[in-house]
Amino acid sequence: MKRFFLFLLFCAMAFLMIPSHAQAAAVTDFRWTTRNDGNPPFVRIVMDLTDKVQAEAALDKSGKNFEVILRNTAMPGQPKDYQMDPSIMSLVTTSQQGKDLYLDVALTESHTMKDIKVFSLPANIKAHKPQRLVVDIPRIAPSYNSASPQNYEISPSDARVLKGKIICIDPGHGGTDTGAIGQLNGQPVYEKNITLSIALPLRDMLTEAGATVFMTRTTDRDVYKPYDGDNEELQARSDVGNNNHADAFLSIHIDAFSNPSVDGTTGYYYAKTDKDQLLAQSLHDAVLNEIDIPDRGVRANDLYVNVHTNMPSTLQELGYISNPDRVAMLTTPGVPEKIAKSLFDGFVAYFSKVDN
Amino acid sequence: MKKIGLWMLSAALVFSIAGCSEKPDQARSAAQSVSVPRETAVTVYEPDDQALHVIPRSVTVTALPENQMKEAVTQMIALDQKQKYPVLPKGLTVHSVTVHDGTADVDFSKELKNIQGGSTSEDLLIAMTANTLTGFPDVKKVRFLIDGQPIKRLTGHHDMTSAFPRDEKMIKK
Repeated sequence: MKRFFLFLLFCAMAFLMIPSHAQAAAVTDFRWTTRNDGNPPFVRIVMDLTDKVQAEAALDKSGKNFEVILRNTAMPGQPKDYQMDPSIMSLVTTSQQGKDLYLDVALTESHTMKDIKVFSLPANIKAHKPQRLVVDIPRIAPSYNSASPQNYEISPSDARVLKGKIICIDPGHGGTDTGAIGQLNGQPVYEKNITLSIALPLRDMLTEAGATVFMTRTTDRDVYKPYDGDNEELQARSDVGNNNHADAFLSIHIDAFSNPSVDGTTGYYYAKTDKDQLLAQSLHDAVLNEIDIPDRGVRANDLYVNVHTNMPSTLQELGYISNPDRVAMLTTPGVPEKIAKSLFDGFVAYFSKVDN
Repeated sequence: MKKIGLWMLSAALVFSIAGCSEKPDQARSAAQSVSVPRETAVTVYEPDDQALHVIPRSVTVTALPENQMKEAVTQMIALDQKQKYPVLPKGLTVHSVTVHDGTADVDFSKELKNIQGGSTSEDLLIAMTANTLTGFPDVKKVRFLIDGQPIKRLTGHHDMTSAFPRDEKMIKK
């Protein structure tokens, strides 16, 4: 998907890149709007141009500094800065550097190139529309890289097992409920963000394998409503699994304890069907297989989402946010995806056993 | 027993008001002379250092018969606070323990809301309290309250409005 978009971006540029004549283009209007009709919402910046221009877009390593260079383009009144949507960007500036016009955007959250869209719209004389360059920048929820689907390579045998399965994934906590709180380099780390960072890639892997995945949430939000009670919130999550007739339900959690040396992973189940324990065990074993983490066992418990879902379900506590080594690991790029892959393999193991 | 004690207390109070010169201290001692504090050995539960199980500990409570359960929970809190890594929040107290039809309502102070997130602390709180109180005859289940109200929001794992039975599998063998 990423490669595809880069290719598209390149194409868009190539179109723009051949000015019909050597004369410099000019920006005659610069405007923006927040589009709340998008999911996620995004800021659209539109530049009216007197001619086609050559444009280049770049994003720095942090993913927070985005730049578009319009070659051989002038804009009156430079430099200038703009306050757009503060939930997306802290500052936007335009400046003239030699013959080129620079558009710089300081983003509040890390973006990837595939999040941001840069494209040209041709002049439409009938509609009195000039040549335009459009930049769309989406709102990214804090603390994870992207809510949009990624592609993963899935083996044909795994895909055979998972095809047609309905799986509900519940990223624990969210919104006004931060879940457990850890510390990393003097900054708080919230359980709700780590659970989501594992759940999103897991969703993409399962979807890629042909399963239908229902998420209780895909952004940092309360599932029922803000500041609600535990039971209403947990019932709303159980309902997502029940209403979609899921074959299996997984709630992803990160644990905490006052003793910082305590660490490990626990698979919880409530034995309401003959398969709850098998599901908990399959996922727990796969995590232990692929992640370096102490084993706290598979344990029967009466946790709300396990009691109130109709299908086999498990709640997995995947390490302690109160353990300094574990919180560093859980927030290391690539690690949530690794944990997601282990859970994915756990689902393959579970459905292989159930189907035979 | 409780009724008689209360009756005696109110009688003593009437007397003290009527007598005018009598001090409240004397009124209280008059009531206590009827309902006598007893020394009883009870089993309370504390967390193990890996936060996987609860461990039974025998303690002596000295309280009026009707206050023994509350005193047991108070000692359970004290024992937990002596741990290097306690489960229960600082400053936690218990207002009351009352039993109806085999279910003990244990009413904690608002500090309970400060319990650490994660299912581990919630699990240990439930196991410590339920196992301590179901050690008393006639208590089969335990329900949790904060300042007299059912718990609306704690750590978001269990149904905290339900009544919890004794949990043998959480006891360290």
